[in-house]
Amino acid sequence: MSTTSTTEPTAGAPALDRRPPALELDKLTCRFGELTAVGNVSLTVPEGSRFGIIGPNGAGKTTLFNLLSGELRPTSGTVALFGKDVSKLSPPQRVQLGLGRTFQVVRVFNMLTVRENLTLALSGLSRSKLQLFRPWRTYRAQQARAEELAASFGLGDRLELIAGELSHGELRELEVMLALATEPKVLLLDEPAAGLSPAERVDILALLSRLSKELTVVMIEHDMQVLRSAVDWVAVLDHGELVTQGPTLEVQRHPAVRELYLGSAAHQGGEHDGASA
Amino acid sequence: MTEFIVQTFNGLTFAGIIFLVSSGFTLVFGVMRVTNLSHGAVFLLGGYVAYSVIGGHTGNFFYGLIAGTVAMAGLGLVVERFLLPWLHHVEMAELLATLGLVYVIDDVSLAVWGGNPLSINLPGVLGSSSHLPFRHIVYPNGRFFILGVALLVGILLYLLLHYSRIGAIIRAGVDDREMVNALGINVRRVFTGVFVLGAALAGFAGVLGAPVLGLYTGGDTNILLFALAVVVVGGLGSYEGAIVGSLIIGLIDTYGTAYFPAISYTVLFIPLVVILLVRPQGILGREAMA
Amino acid sequence: MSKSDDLLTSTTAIVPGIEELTGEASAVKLRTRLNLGERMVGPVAGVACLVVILILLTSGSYLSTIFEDILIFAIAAMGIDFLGGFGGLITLGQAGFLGVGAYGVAIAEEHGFTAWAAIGISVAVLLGLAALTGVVAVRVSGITFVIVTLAIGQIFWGLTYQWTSLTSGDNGISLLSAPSIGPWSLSNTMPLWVTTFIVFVVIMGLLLLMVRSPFGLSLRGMKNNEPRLRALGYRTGIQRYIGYVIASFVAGLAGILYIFSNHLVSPASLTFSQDGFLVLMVIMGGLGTIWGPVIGAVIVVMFQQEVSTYISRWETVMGIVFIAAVIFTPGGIADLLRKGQLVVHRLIVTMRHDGGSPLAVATASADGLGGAARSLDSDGPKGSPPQSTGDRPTTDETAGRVQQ
Repeated sequence: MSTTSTTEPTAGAPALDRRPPALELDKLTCRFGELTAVGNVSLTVPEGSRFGIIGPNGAGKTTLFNLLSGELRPTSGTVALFGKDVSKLSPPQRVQLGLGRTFQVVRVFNMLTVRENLTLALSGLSRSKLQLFRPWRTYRAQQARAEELAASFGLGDRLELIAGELSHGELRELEVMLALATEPKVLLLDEPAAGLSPAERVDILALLSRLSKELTVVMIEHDMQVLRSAVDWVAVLDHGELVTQGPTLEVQRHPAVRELYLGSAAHQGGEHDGASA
Repeated sequence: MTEFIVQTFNGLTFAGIIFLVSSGFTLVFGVMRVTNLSHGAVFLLGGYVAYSVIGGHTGNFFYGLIAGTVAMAGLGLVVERFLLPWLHHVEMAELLATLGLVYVIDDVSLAVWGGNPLSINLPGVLGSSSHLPFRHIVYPNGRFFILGVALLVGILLYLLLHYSRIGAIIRAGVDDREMVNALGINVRRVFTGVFVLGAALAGFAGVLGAPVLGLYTGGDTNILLFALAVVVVGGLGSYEGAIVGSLIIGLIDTYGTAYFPAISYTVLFIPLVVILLVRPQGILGREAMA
Repeated sequence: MSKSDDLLTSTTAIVPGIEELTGEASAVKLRTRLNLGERMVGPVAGVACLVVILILLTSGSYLSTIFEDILIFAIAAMGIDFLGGFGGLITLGQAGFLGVGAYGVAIAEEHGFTAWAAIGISVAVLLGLAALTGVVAVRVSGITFVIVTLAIGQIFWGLTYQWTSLTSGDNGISLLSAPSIGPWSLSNTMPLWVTTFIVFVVIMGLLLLMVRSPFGLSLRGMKNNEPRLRALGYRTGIQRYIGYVIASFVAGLAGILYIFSNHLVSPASLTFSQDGFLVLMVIMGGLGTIWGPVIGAVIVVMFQQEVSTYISRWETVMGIVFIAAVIFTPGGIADLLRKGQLVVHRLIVTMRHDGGSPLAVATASADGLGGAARSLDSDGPKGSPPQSTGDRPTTDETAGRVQQ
């Protein structure tokens, strides 16, 4: 079933509009021994789009993200970023080409303060990161930017707090802030709303809606409500393969997706409640 | 040419000894992620224990071999049961604590066996030499014996790893420790077993290597360096890597010592450099963090 | 969670593991709670101790040698702390670089160079070797990196031992002459002393400056969560490389001072055991402080020089102390001082607010020591060691301590 869907271009698919592609995945495959985590996935993400990736647990969504960001190397197939093949580049090299990402399991510097976290992210792409003889606190412009960024996420008063002491919702926000601080052109968000309370979900949605329209956002998300308001195009993965893709509402009505995804949605929801508890 | 053949035999013998040492080191690292820096000290202590059991030059070598192996297995058990649990799987802490252990083991060895080099002789026919059927080479039987035993142990370990349940668990543990945990296997017991096996192999190698290498203060650091070179070249945590690495390091070091005695240590550096530049995870190592 | 994610989280689990060893969590938290004046209490107390010992020691020339040794090894140990305490990678081959610095001077002088030229040559060789071996070492990360640094140090040892035409092998090489500017000659006790102290202070100052720089911050980020740092655009190999070259260079500078103080360098100065002593100084003094290893150097050198005359098996004692330090005071003496400082601070605050109610004071101090006490409690041999799983959820000081 899935193989036929991949070859059948759903509703004129990726070339929906005339914008040039930000990300192109060509027959991307990743195997771990016998297990094919991602198989033969081809996708095109146009610049400035809001792109969702859904699928049941174990569908290979996070593996796909790791292939995009360079944490994993594909077994075969390629990833192109703005037309440039980046399949063999390391994560930091891809960041330098404008790719930023967040992680499903929050990965901030939990032993450093929020200010230090942001400073690290802000100097990631500047030459000053190798400066040895000037205290980082004396980089006024950068510190102002860190404060501004924290303030815009409502964490202005948390700057001197150790990141490990933040609440779960704040950590998610910091995770997004870190990715944004590198000023990416393509942002990969791995379940940004996972484990958040309904109120925090509203916050993160507001945050996503404030992102620059030029920014390309690819998002893994289980929550249909979040997807509906945050993305306009959805690709569905199952067992590592692309089932279908199309405009969010259309995909939602797709019978195979309803069976596959909504059937397991209740289960997903339960799991997340457990995680946030 | 004759010289080269003799050196090749020497290299293979040495490869056999460092294989026994490094296979234990690499298994312990692969399964438990413990970098046991006291592995060399255990090697030397095993030799010393055997020396005492054999009683200088008269007693039975094989009793010494058994005693050295069993005593070091016991030491491994003590370390695994009473030292490692305090370190809570913090890799750097484990590495440093075993470094501290080196001082204790070395100093105790020095107190008991003194600072003068000691040697163990192989018994009977193993102590004499044979004419090889070509090029009139006379070669000590003992070295063939050592090579043969190392081969035998290597094959037995290979069979254990690939054709037994325990071996399957150990290999699974090297590949994916979470999975072994998830399978509900008693990881604690597997850890203990692997650590004891590693220490036993080090002790065994210490006795077996003593007739060739001698027993001397500092011999432990020496063998540790070889073991480290082997695992870096072969791939940290890989048993097959230890085989390949031992052959490379053993032969290169022997040729280096024979032909460039002033800089044999630097010659040893060459495979390390080449491997780290070309394939940093080691010849048979798995890809490290991307 | 997919398979790949497991692979990566198990990698990150290593990284938080290391800083549990250093106790930096509590240290950083303390830093945020204490103002600048209060923060300086620890370093000032440490330096004061040092000065007292200095005065006690300067009475005789034998003792002044000990003091020189302390400063020299402290320099090398501070270098280890730069990459070890902040970047989480404790290099084990630094005695090798100390040896390169010392041999560099001695061999150059033997080949007819003046003392000043010999120092220049030694510095150049040092930088070259650090830069070259660094290229190889940084190809691997984590524990493998540590193992490779150990191998590099041992290869230097092997060279000094085996390359007898250059190094005179086991006998070592003696110093021929010391540099001088007019009457200020390093062959005299007082100038050597002052010079060593100046170099020590300058290196310490530079290292303290560097740990506060963007680079120093990136080292801390690497220790805390290397994959995350890479996902922010840092090629962490560069972090390792610069840290390694700095640590090695600093150790080599210590070696140059060492040859002028000791007048002889032999392979014994480059042994694995010497590597261990340097690391012990860092661990006992306190990783991640720069000034902590100085206290460690005082203790280890005094132990080596003094205790060895009373206890013949002093290396056994040293080894046990080493293991105990790793287990019980992962933050070293620096961390104990900080805890003490916190207790004093809380006592003052409590007395101010409660008019010195004894009960409140007692509670406050118990809080302050809670970390250490609880880490002892949880460290029972029977305690089932926690399996590391991904990012640690610990958020408060005590939870962090219990896990380590």
